[in-house]
Amino acid sequence: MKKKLAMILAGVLAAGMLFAGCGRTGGNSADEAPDQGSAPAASAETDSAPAAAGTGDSIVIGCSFVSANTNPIDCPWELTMQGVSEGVFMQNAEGELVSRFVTDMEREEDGLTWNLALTNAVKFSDGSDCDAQALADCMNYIQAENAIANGTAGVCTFTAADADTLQVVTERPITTLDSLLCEWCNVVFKQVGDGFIYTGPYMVDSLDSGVSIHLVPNPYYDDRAEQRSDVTMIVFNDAAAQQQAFEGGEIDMMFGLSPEVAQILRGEGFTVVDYDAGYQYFVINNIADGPMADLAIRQAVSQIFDREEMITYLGAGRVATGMFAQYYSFAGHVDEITDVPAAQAALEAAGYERNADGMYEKDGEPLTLKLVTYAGRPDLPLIMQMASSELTEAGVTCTTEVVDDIGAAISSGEYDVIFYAHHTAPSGEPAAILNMYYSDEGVQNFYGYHSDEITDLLAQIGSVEPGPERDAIAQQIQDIVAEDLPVTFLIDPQWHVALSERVADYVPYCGDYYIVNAELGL
Amino acid sequence: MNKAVRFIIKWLIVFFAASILIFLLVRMMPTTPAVKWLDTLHLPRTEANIEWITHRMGLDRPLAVQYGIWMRNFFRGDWGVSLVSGEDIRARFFAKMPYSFSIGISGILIGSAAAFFLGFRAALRRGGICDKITTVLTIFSQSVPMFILSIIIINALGVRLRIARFFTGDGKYAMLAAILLTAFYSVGSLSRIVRQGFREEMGKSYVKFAVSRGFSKETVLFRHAYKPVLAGLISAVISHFAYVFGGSTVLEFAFTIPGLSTMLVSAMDSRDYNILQVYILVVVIWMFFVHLVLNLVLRALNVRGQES
Repeated sequence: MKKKLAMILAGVLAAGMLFAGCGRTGGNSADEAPDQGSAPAASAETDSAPAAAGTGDSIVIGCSFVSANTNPIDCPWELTMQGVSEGVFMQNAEGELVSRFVTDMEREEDGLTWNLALTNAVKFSDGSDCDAQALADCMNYIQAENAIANGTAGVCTFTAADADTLQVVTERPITTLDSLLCEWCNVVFKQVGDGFIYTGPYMVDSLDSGVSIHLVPNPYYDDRAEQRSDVTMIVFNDAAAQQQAFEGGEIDMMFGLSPEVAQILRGEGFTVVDYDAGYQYFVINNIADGPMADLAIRQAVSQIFDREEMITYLGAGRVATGMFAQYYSFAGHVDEITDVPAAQAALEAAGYERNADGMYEKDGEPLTLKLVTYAGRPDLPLIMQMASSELTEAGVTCTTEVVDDIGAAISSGEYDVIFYAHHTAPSGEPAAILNMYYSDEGVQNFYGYHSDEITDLLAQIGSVEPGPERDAIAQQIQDIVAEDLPVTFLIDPQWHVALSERVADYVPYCGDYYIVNAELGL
Repeated sequence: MNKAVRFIIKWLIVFFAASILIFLLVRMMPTTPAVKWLDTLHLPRTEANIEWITHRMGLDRPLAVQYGIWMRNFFRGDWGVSLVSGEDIRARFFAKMPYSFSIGISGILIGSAAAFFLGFRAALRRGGICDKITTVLTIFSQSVPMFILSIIIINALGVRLRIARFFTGDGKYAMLAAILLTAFYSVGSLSRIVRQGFREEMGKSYVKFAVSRGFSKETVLFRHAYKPVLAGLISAVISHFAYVFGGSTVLEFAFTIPGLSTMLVSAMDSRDYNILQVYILVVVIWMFFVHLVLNLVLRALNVRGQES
């Protein structure tokens, strides 16, 4: 009978092992069915098994998301982040706009027509030329299919004037066509059958939406294609699992490190690099209602924030000097100073007195601030807690809340201070974000902020060419904001990335915009 | 009315009630898929942007029309496409099922078999080693979170010893670990049920009589008393089968296994209504089949007949 029992158990165990063995294999073959809109080349290649991640030449990257499909309307941002697609213009590590497609741009006198001289040196991943006609076709497709692409200059029309010239006619006059062509949606592609192909350094070999993507070098990108390795990006939903995968040598790059994990990995002797995020951490003050409607309180709160201390805790970054990362030419020159005694004096001048507990109150009402943030950017809850401690220590009562939907929290108006993160120059120019936050109609002007001076300056910045004059206007606006404090500048952050020895020299830039760039593994 | 007909009618009502409920519930979530999509790309929530993406997702049609289209297509075998990725949901489901089902079904089967063996031995000798093991396993599974044990296993085998690659390669180690953990965490409670069942049978006259005639207790229990115990075990296992969907979330996250739970969490995060509502319906259909099959098994064991 023992034999029988043992046999039953062994049978069930064997069945279980069989399930274990065929689990991922079975899943993969189904997962790799061609996605809607995937490139024909990629579709064909998905039928064959991809190189095993981490076991061959593949550079394996741990990240929090990958492209859902290969359609340029659905996932242009993700495809560019993965090194598959390229914008007509993109940012380099210095925040300058550069292009592999365009050598020169000229605007005609009507202010709407632009002539772009092309390099004609770029090829799609199937080896075909990315000429003026191909560029016109894909840009017109985007204009027709993606309404958001019409936001900056209205509907734009692209025409191949000749083999070397692309003509662009915008619906509204703009001064920065390069920035427009750097916007996330304007990626260069070619439709082949039901799929799409691109020009970036890598092409999609197989894609499991939301799970992983396997990339192979685009042989037509440049003459270094043969030096590049395959790249596999794996989505980790759990930070601890990703850390273990890195420590176990299964992944070469780990993004989205918290300060604690960065410190642990450094302590274990791993390479952890800090790089400019491009994003800015700042505070949105509720100037419409509550204590923060009082400029004196906003100034005092700003002086209480110890930005250096926050940076020490985050492990990297700089004190913000304005609305933009400091490598941009239009970055501000605001000098944020921590001065708690001065802040307390300002509160007392505004009529607040300390009660028996040492907390400020006025007419028996304690000075209470509701601090709100969201978990989507993990640094924010950390700096909110630090700010809360600093404010409490200075005598300001605080409550804190981390919400899922920060947009809803802002719309509700149920806050005094919101800790927020935003990439403020994704297209390499300052006017868009300044308008968004500080113009009367700005979509991020949640609090009804108005400044005559800024209104005038915003009108000017929209009509001047990129250069010192535009930068000076942007800096003036940031100076005014630092005085009026609808927004309090906090930190120009740097993020951490853990790198294996194989890719120890790789330095990503611009936050999560170009995680895989042409220099990876070279 | 025939029992089978009543069974089917009951499940049809459950199916339609669940479909209406989930269709409405997902739309009552605080943030819409359009807003989520814009937030993901750091795009402003302007009316124009929301209108465009809502239209693109097909969510600007009246609710009744959306529900009608969904149900009609569902019965035709078209489960729709993901609002986020545009992928065919049915294909996606069938791609994910092997992961979750392998973990869930294999884990439960192994756990049940081990529980039967352990429970049987524990019943034979009260306070013996097997009895103590079942108690320890029960307490352990109730007090140590599965996630912690997963991390310990990954750390020991993947990081320290580096003898298993859990996150890359063909995934066999991750699947194996997940199956064994699922089994391990179900053994304790199931084995106590089996033990209790055999102890009850041991007190019955037919067992006592057989033992008094010289048959060993072990033989009598295993050959003649297993049916009611097995029925009890199967009844307990039915509830475990409900967790095949969604029950492996912790393991899928810990081992980065791209199963149904991972897909569900991702769909909830992006408010992908189409995936969420299909998911619930498939769970209903799954539970229908689980109840159907296990009722048939119980009938085959003739336990209910005996009881009546």
